[in-house]
Amino acid sequence: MRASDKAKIRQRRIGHTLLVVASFSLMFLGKADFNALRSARMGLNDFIAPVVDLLSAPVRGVETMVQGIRTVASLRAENVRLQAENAMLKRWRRRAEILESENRQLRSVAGAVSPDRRVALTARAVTAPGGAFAHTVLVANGSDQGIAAGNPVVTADGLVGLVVDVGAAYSRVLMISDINAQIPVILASSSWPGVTTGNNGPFLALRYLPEEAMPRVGELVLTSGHGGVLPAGVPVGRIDLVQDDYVRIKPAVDLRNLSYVSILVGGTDGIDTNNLELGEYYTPLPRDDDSRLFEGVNALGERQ
Amino acid sequence: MIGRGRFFQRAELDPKWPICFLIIVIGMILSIFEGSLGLWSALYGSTPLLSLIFLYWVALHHEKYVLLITGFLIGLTSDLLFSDLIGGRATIYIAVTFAMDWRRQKLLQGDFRDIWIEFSVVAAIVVCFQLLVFSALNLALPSLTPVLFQIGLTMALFPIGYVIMATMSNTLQRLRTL
Repeated sequence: MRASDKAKIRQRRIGHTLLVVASFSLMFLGKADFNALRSARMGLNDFIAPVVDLLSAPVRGVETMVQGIRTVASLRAENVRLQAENAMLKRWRRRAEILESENRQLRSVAGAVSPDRRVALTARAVTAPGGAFAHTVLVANGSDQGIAAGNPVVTADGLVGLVVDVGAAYSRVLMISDINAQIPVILASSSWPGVTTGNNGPFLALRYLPEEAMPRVGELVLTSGHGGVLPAGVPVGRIDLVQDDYVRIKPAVDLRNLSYVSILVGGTDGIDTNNLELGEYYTPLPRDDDSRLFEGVNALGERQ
Repeated sequence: MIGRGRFFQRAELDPKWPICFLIIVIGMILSIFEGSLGLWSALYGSTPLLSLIFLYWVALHHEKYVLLITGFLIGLTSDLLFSDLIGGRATIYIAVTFAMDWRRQKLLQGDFRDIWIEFSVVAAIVVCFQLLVFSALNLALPSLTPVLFQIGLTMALFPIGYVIMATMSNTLQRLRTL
């Protein structure tokens, strides 16, 4: 081997090593969650997202076609199911009207103040949950439309997640199934508080339930509103499995089929959304006696 | 005649740069397409590593067009758009191009089965590396089913990708010789 070839190989090896070091540094910088890096990432996403949108078109087309064929094949059965569902919904609507009226009367008696109204903005999901290591989606609306970090994202079925990064025209939504997502919830029928955590899979785990709680399979789980970031009463899912201390939840929203979502804008006044440390927001505050405190915890995790 | 400097002469004499650039662009497009496949509910969260198949094939058969930053840029595109871990895939893709420098001669002397087996090992290492770093940084283990599904699907799709790319490459060669 000639000396020049040896030098070339050495140069290539040094180059490889330097690039590996640069990539490793990026990993740690990314995890350190610097604002500058986050902004740069969202800037790049704003730039690349239209290309992603364009390249997704054939996949979206195939998916729509497959769904269309499935729908045609099951049209009759679907019609019968929808008629039954419609009848049930009419009964629920009558019941909801009665309860709403009762609720209004009770509020006026108790002097309770209604929570701030949030404006729902519809946004299209540009990407799908990205791979086995992150459950985030890019949606086609950003700060130009008034979206801010911390805004909840929902569909008609329930909670999808919350906005974590905002670009000018696109935002990144952290889904409830992501390993970093911790949502304060209550059990609908017993009102016991807990926290759902994702594991980048199709189900969520329900943690920090008080010992007295008796979760039942099929029980609805709603957001509790603790922390102030998410509104209270949004369906998160239903209990799917109870095994010793492990409680599994099936999300209310089919996270595999997200095409359009609603972003609830507003309602995060007084919360520093530039430093949305998810762990601090959603982890219940431990008391000295190892129990967990939910009531009276504000958005910064401080007791009120 | 317009006087042209050293930069232009170099570009004319060394026509591999446009192809190197093209390979990076194709790799980036593939990694974006790979993420878009997640929209297909059947592949939810476990899309095959199409960009890895491409990178492996190019590094095996057209190594002179693979620059140092090829793997880095392809991986980084995927990281920025679809991952929580910026640099995770970029790092392992650099390692793949480096490993291919070392294994190429041996693989080219073997048959397709050897290439496929080695690719399967590479795919498993790529995903396991990401899993390891992800778990270490998040102090949590994600659901393993999508991870295994992703490895399996990538391995299964490799022969199809290999045949498609070899056919396209042969067609382009023929067109060039015409």
